[in-house]
Amino acid sequence: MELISLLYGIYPRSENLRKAYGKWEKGQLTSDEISNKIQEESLLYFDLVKEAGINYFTDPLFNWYDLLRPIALSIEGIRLGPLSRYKETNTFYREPEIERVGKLKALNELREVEENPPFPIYHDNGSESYLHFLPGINSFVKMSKVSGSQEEARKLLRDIYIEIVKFFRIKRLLVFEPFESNNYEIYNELNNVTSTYLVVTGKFNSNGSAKFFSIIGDDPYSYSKYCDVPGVKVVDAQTTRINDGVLEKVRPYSNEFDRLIVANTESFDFLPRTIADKKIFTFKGGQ
Amino acid sequence: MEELVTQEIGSFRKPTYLSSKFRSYKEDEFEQVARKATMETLDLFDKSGLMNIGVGGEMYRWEMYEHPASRMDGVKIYGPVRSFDNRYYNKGSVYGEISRKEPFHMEEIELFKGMNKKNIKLPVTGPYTLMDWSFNDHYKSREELAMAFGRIMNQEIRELKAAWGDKVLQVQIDEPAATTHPDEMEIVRDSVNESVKGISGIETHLHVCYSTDYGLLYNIAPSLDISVYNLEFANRDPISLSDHRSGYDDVKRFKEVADSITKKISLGLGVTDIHRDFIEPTQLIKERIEYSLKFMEPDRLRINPDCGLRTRSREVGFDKLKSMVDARNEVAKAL
Repeated sequence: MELISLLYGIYPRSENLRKAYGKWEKGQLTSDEISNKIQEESLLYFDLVKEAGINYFTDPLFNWYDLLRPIALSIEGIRLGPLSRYKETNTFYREPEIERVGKLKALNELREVEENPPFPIYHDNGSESYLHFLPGINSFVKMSKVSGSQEEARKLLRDIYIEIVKFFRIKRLLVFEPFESNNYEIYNELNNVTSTYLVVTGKFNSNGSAKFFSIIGDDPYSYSKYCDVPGVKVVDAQTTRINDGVLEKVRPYSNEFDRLIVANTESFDFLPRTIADKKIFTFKGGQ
Repeated sequence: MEELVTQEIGSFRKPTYLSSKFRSYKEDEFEQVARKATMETLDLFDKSGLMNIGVGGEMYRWEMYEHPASRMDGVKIYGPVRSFDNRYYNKGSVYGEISRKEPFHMEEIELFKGMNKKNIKLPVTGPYTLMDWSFNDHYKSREELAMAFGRIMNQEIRELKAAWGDKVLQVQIDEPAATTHPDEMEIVRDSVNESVKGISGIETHLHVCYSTDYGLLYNIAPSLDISVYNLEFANRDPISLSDHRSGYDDVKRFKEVADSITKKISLGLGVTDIHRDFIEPTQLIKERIEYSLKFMEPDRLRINPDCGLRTRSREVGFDKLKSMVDARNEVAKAL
């Protein structure tokens, strides 16, 4: 069985970047300067994941203050609400308040966004290994306060996502659903325009029409028929233990699949940077 | 029993001379500077008219998790993890059996004992929150780790009480994580009880803020060894004046629980929001207290901010406390 490593989600900021953000928040750095710093740190991240031999990785999302923020800030009719706890963690996000899902604003140019870090939202290094990242549509709605129909909000968000994919000419997109859902057909049209890697939480349910390039979750037997390459979330983002015994965890699948994606369980942003930098060398069982 | 005792919850913004070099002061120098900041904060508290002065705003502590965690064996701090935006805290990894290397809060107890202050309340970080905010790389379960932290907190509180002497010591166990995992309320109960097991001469407070359901806490109150529940309400109450304070409807639920159990429990009522600079007018706070008095007797109600005031400037913190005390005094006069 061929193991394919994939790292997704927000990567922890270095001390340098945290300090730079601190200065920027106090007005001691301009938006241009912090933007350059984000770019520099992103390049260092790309070097690091290359050195670690990671096959696919998302943008490090260094200017994403939470999983939803830049997208919420880029759609007319959505504003930021109060801080809200992310699942059962000690990490908080600003709850989007969706009045309506309106037009998409500019994402790929330097743009100051209220009190948040400046855009662009992606720092694509042009590599074949690079995946653009978007938060799952179902989770986005679940984590928001929605005025009106949630179903309508999901459909409009899907249309926005298609617009984003076309605008950036995204070949490979990773979509992360941190909450369980039973509506993965919402991605059918998106799957027609890009190659989607879907990271799911909990059980995967489909009425049979879903077809992704990859689905990554906890039980590949349940979703392997809905994708080309199944994956498992086995590199634990909630422990500082470096070697998670990845090979032991994937061994049971070796007779079943020719290829298996090995991914992290959550954004590495839940880890101290020093630990994250070591863990990325363990995706295929390294120390 | 005194009625409507005003109290603070713990932290208060540090003066810049302390916060800017907190980690770089040498030990003896730090002691002097922390003491100076404590005295200045006590002066502010006195001017505000606050009845219980806590420990003068926690000037000896940088942060509620790191302070005890860095004084334990078996816990290693590898670096910060994000709380929100660009705000981070040092999250420890439990890599082995945990034990206390040194007391966490003895300097504060000795300082206040030396000043012969009686009206203090000592905040300590609760065992469940210590567990929930740590990486567990050693213990078999979250419950085991929470109980291990509970035993450490018991040792800490026992020694602090011994140092304090015969007078009753108010100890506030801070458990912001208490209701974040609804299926773990038994772990909360058992680990908090472990923290105070067998220690006499203390009045136990529990502070839980920003819960989405205090009902979870009320459910375990009958078997929790806690006398005073210091909770947050202002954050969820509108700021417009009204006889009906929707953010305080939960007080009724608390009273129902209090009446259903034999031991006497009291409520610390959060009346000022610590997440905004808005200074709640006296009239607004009066309404909040008066509305709560429809359910609770005045000798079972204490008046406090929602949480520690470290997130506000010292000036705003003072104004909030002053407004709170003024409102309390007006209500008390009319009782």
